[in-house]
Amino acid sequence: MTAATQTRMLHDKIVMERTYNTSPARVFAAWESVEARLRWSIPFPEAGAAYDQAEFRVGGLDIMRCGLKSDMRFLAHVRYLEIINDARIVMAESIAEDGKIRAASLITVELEPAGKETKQTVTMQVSAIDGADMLDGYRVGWTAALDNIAKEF
Amino acid sequence: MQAAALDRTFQALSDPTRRAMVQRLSRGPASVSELAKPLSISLPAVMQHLQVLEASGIVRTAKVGRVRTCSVEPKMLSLAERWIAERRANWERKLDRLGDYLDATAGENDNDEKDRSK
Repeated sequence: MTAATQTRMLHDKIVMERTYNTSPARVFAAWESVEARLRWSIPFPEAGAAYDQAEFRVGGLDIMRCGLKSDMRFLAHVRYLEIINDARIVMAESIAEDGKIRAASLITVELEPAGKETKQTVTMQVSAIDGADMLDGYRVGWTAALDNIAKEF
Repeated sequence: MQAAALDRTFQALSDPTRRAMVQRLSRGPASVSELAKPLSISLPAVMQHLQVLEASGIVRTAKVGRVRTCSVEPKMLSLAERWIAERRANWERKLDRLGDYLDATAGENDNDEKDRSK
């Protein structure tokens, strides 16, 4: 079997909007600063992230490990493609696990002033890679896991 | 990858409160306040637990009007589908946290902002 028959790609576009009660400059600064990012971008208490490299400039590359605090198994590379101060950030991100790429995304952050507030639109065009063989194993594992959990109730 | 996905599942279900929530939802969908009631914990704490369950793909939530309804994810998602669902849930959470961060640091960055406004 070739690699192409073992895996398939799944493509999706995720658009997320938020309005923040502050200026575009402060929202932009929160994306620009690594210290700020480490404060807000940990999605839940058990999650962790650490930067090996951070270069917030056009053509610059961030290298970051993330995952659970106890197991930061994902390696993210983020290349900055376009940066317009206080208005727009375009990034190409790849995420690998165990040395294999899992997903590649184009992430665009757009900031617009709205009175005293800032409207932020984050658009994520993501291509994720499925491993067909792993998928079957995963399904079996998942069913087994749920059976085991049911026993706990 | 399979091991990682299972790790996240077990991590999500390692907590007795979260297991109680999944147990309740296995009987049918419920609103966040319905979920919170028998647990005698705060609504924000319930929301945090829900986010972990949602990020691990076990539970799905949908907001209709002002009510967020939670249900056990019935579909067996493929790895990539789950990956994307997880990412979406994590990013929604991150962007909310960005709002909290901006509120919490309002004032302390005023000078920076003036410095770089030109």
